[in-house]
Amino acid sequence: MLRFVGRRALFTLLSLFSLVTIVFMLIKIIPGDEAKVAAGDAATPEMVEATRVRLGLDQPVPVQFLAYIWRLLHGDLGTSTTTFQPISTNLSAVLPFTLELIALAMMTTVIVAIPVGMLMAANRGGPVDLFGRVLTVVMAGMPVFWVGFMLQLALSSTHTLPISGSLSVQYSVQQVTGFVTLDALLTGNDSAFRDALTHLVLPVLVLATPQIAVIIRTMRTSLLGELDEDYILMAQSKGASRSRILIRHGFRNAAVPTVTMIGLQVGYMIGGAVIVESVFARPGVGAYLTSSVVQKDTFAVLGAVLFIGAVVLITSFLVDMFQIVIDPRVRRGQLEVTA
Amino acid sequence: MMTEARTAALPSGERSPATEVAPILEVRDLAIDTGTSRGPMRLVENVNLSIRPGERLALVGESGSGKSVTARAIMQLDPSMRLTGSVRFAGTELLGLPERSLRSYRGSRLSMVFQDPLRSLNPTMTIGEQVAEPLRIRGVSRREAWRRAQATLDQLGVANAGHRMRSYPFEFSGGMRQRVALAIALVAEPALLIADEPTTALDTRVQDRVLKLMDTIALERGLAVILITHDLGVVAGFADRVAVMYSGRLIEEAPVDDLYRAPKHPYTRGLLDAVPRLDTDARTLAAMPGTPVSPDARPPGCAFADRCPVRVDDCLSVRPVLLPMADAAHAVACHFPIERESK
Repeated sequence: MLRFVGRRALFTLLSLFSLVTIVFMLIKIIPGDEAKVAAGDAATPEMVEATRVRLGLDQPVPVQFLAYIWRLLHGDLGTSTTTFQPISTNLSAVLPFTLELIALAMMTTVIVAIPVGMLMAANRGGPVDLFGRVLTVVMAGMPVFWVGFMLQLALSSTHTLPISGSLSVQYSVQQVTGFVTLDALLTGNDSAFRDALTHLVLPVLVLATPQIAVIIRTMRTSLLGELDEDYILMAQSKGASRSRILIRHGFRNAAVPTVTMIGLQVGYMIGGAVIVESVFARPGVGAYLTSSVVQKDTFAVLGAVLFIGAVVLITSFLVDMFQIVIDPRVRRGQLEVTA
Repeated sequence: MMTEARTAALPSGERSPATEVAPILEVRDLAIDTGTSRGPMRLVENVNLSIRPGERLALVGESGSGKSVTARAIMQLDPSMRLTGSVRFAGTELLGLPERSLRSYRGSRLSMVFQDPLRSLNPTMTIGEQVAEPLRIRGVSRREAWRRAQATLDQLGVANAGHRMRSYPFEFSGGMRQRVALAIALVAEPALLIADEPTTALDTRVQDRVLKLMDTIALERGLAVILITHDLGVVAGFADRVAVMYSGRLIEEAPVDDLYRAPKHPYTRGLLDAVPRLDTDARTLAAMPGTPVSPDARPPGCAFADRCPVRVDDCLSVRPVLLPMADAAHAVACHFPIERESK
């Protein structure tokens, strides 16, 4: 088990290092003088030279790389040329919005997809299964941004659900954790809490839809694979009920590939968040990335990319660790499944 | 629940059960149909079996002869199989019973072990959980179920059972896994055990140990056993009676000694000739020509006719019925049963 953890940790660290190297190389490759960009458009040549020395850009590239890593280790992603604030400060301000969105979308996915996938597997070939299979193809095939626009179009005239933003203007929530819904709850602001939640309904729905389809399919397929195993016959011959066989025997074994897939989907969700945040005009890491691209804020873009990459890698590491919990064969080093 | 079987257990290790005891399981005219991509197919037909408490019946045949399908039909494990005929267990008709009632029989009154003990154990459940499960399903308390599971594992020779119950199947050897599978089948003290090729996946030395163990336990508990196997070598030391299946039909049934000494069906004869023996100086093994006919290509007559050394043309069109020979204990489905052993 320790070997498994160690190997996965090493792999994650190596991947992170590669990511940092690639991002650093991109900074160097992109046309344009970094010192000029950092000093601003109005800077005089003397100012640019001073900035170059101050940022260590007059040093050889390997020295600059080490300095870059040193700064990253201290949480310094550079300074935004649009906000004039440290990029890390900008990112940590918008991060809770994205985390809130992804966490809710993930919860929705798990709550909907796992029982539905199990139900479909339990009724293999039946009407529920057939209908579900068609529906998941449609769900997985619809582009995220299109679903978002269509929902906005459909709901804009009815005013049943807010179609953009994260909180209505009449509410303000005192900041405790940065998570709007959580802060509203903590400060006892019930109406703001409800308002923030209704703002999350559509983005969560749009973000979760394709993930639900993928997880339903994974759950169904892996459970069907398990139901063909001999130990299911054994459980039947013990007199176990249908639900006991599905839950106690089939599900636990089918959970390993499903959890792995859920972990992978976190990465896709961050990608989806970039689109969803733009479509629904919500603040977040994705929206920050989009606006930085539009404003040619190179260091902000690279900072956001680095940050998203790190989140994906760490999630994948955590998923691997979770396998230790659910599969004794991984725990005792007999089997290695990696995301 | 156990009284029936216990009273049938015979004193002083004597194996032949008294004939007057009512059968614990009686299969009458069982037919098994399934739907395939090529349409419906009759896998098994006209199967009649009867087994008394404490008795051991071997169901023998090649792959595809229908022996495993028959075993699973008795337990009704496969809902895609359509069963007709009658399966009576301790006087109750099992065919047509609702699933809920069937569950109360499975695992507690009749139970089953499968061929591959690694595949038949759940990889993510501890041995203890799995052995205790048949009892837990029936509402036995966790502590009591655990205690009885440990006692059963002890009895089956799993050393240090209390500790090993916290292990997982992959941490056990093949033979130990089959002991665990047997413990699962026996923990709720059933009256009938169906063992589907229980030793096939094990190496020879372990095979022998598992068979001896089944023998001892069955004797101690007065357990009736149906042993399903393709290996006539396994049958000899274990069973009281043998039923031979070919292409979904029973073709011969006899007390084990009679069958070995004087097989009546040319197929059985061929099977026995193909068993390697140490007590003859034959240098080559006799092999039967041809392969078994698939159940959907059975001729109207005898299914073995096309491979049979003694068939006449009518064998292909007139189906032989399983009829008792003069001595009544031996039955054969052949128009021209072998009269005398001609060695």
